[in-house]
Amino acid sequence: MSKKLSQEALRTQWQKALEGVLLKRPTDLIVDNSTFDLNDGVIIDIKDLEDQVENGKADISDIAINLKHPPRQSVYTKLSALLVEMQHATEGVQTFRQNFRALRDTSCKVSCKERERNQKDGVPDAFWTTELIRWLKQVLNIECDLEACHLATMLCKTGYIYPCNVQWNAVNFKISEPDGNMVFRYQTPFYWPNESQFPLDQDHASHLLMREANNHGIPMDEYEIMCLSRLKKVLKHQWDCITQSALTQTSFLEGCCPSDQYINAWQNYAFWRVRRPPAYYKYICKAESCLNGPNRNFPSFTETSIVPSENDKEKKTAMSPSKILTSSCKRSTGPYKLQCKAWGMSFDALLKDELGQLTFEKHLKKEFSEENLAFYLDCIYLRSAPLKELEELIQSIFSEFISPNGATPVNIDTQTLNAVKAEMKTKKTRFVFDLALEHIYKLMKKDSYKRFPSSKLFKETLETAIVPQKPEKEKGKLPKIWRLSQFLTKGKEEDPERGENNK
Amino acid sequence: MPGYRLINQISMANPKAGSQSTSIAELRKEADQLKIKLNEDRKNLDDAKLFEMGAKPDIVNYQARCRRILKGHSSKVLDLDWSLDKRRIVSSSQDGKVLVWDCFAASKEQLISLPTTWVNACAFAPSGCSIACGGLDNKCCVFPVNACSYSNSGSNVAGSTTIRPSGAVGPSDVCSGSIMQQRKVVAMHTSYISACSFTHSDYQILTASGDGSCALWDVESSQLLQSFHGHQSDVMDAALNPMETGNLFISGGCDKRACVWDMRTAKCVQSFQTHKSDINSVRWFPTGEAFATGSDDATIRMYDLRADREIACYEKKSILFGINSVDFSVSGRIIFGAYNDYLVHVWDTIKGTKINSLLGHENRVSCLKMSPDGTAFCSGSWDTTLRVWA
Repeated sequence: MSKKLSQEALRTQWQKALEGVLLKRPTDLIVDNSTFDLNDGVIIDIKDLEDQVENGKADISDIAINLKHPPRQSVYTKLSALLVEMQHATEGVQTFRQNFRALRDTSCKVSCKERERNQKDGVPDAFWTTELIRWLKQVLNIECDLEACHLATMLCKTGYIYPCNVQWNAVNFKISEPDGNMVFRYQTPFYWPNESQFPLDQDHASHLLMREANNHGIPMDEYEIMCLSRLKKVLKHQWDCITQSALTQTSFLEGCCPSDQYINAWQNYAFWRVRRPPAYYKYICKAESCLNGPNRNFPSFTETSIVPSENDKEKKTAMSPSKILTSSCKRSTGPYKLQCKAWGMSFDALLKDELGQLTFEKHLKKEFSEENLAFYLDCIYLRSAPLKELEELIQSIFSEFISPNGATPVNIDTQTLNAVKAEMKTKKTRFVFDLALEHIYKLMKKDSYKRFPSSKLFKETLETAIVPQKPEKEKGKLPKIWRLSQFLTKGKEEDPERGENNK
Repeated sequence: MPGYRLINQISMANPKAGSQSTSIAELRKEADQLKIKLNEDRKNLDDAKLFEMGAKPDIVNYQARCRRILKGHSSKVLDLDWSLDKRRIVSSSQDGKVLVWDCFAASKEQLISLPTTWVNACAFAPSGCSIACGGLDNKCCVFPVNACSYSNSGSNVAGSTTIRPSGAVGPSDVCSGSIMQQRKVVAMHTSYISACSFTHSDYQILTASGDGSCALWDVESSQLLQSFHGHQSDVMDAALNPMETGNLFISGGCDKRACVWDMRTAKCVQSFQTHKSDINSVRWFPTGEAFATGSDDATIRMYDLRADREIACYEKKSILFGINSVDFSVSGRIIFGAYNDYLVHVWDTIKGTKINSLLGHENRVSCLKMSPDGTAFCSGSWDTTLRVWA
């Protein structure tokens, strides 16, 4: 019995310690009856571990603690370090004592006596956006305001700091101005993401119950009320237990001083705002419904499909996307100037380009060595040819290019020839011609290609190459192709369905 | 990572053979010392620093705007790939949907619903006629793409309008039934697929998997051509040498190691381990002589095969979040990194300075790829959208 219990305890410990690992790879943690597979080549056998613990060889709590910062969480370790630095007494972010008076408009329900007391002292450790941005810029050498704002936003989104603002939403929260007058506070380390990665629904329910009882000046949101009623249904079997725990916590908090209560309420609120944010947007298109025929909710899709909806047929004829796109993106068959220049500079660039290959072939034909290129291209194809054709291909390449009686034998020395022949006899792999290929490649590069840039053919091609023109701009208007995109995104934003979903 | 080491020891050391655990610890220590020595020796061969040499050239100015927002996925976008026609994009998402986009018109062309979730990888075939995707089901499948009207050479996109069945018929219904029949399971691993890509033809696929191996498969016969073992942990990404004559590919994984593999012998010919956390992405320098890796430790590092060492590290004190994907511009002068802090950071390769940060995504940027001609790049994010920047 005791053994079973310890296994249970062990597993919860492990689970807690390893939860963070789940972040990136869903298969990281496979928990079955007896093994934890970390998928890092590390399989932990519970029984094995139990024996170790019994023999005093390993201490479970040690391992659990060691794993609290698994390598995948390096970002959280860094952020935590930054936060510690931030709270330094002298070189950290300058804080001020936040007054309750400032919060009066959030309909705070603290009794008059307490409010007076707090008005005198205020709640310490609050800071302004300006100060936060200034500090970040100074400590991390950030030049750009926008970047510092973004980092501050990320700190909020990951739940290290939180704004003292009832309306904030972890999903679309954004600090846009470096000198905005928002008040921030630190989240307690207990709530930092590396300590508690996946909070349970039970905890959320208990938090919501506490908020229902006493909201400390932060009124319940509509979504929170909905969430509570949903949780009530889902966790019906545990509800007594949850109410009990909520009650205990509340009674514990009642003993604390009001400023502690106030901070605690805010921290809890911020934590759950990050972990269980209100569903602020439902994705506008469900991919499937989107492809299921014309749908007025998806203007972008119907717009670009071939069948025009009747009411904007006129628009269609004016700017059918496919027409505009194909006309504006029309490509001529000839090469571009830059493309051509690259051929002159690098042999690899020439061979990689299909048009380059064609041009080079013409050049080689004049030098009567076009079989080199043909051999090269065939070998490249052979590299990744289908298995079925392999045998046949090797044979045909051999008979055409290597064997002395072939139609167009390539120019390789006897040593290479013999080596290839020997390999043909032993094992016919994809790489059987590699030696010959290397030889031919070098030959082309050093011999034929050297003459290529100065050849008449290349100069002619370069001259006739196309210089792409910028799309003509109409006066004060964007080129057609971008105007279309504006039209499309506009349509999406005005989507009536989206507004409904927001609720 | 003391925890991991400890567990390794515990799992390896059998309780019956207690003395073994100490010897393993010793061996580890020795290996670590050897590694340090190797690094020192490498350092002695240093002749110049890339960033110092790169101080002379002019600063590049790179401004990019988001030109298209591709909306349609209903869950996190995990991977994307460009077709060689420079116009179509395939993307996969966490809910098992794979979408083919026309990124000029920002419209969807095809939807494939997979029976699995977390489609970690997708790739366009060079001909543009099929796509490959793989995810948590440990399989990599190849699907045909209906709109094959673009010329695969990419030289004339003109006149190739996509004719899709009229909207009323619900094309997805029509094909989702048959598409599963047209599906071809090419690769099977013992863990999830983390990356897949076609080699320079339609006939072979290279996959990287969570079981710590990479493998090369024949598409037609679904046969394993070659498997590559050597990573000690999940392989997160693999990339083929851009040069057609090259027989190399690179991979990076959760053992913080980037390996260079020879396709012929299936052996790891070079490996680099200077990252401090998992490598999420590997990408070749356009010439195929160096490569860059992006890691969870918020740095991008560049390794050179000829110098056999790390030649550059792109980091900044203010960048704390990990990197999911990296890619080079066509010339190799600029590196783009997709970061977990919702941004795409743009780096100057030879100066090591950050040129720009592109703000737009509303969640982690999970994948990023340059278009084949280098005029634009596309990034996919956990906010369910893809964005095309130019």
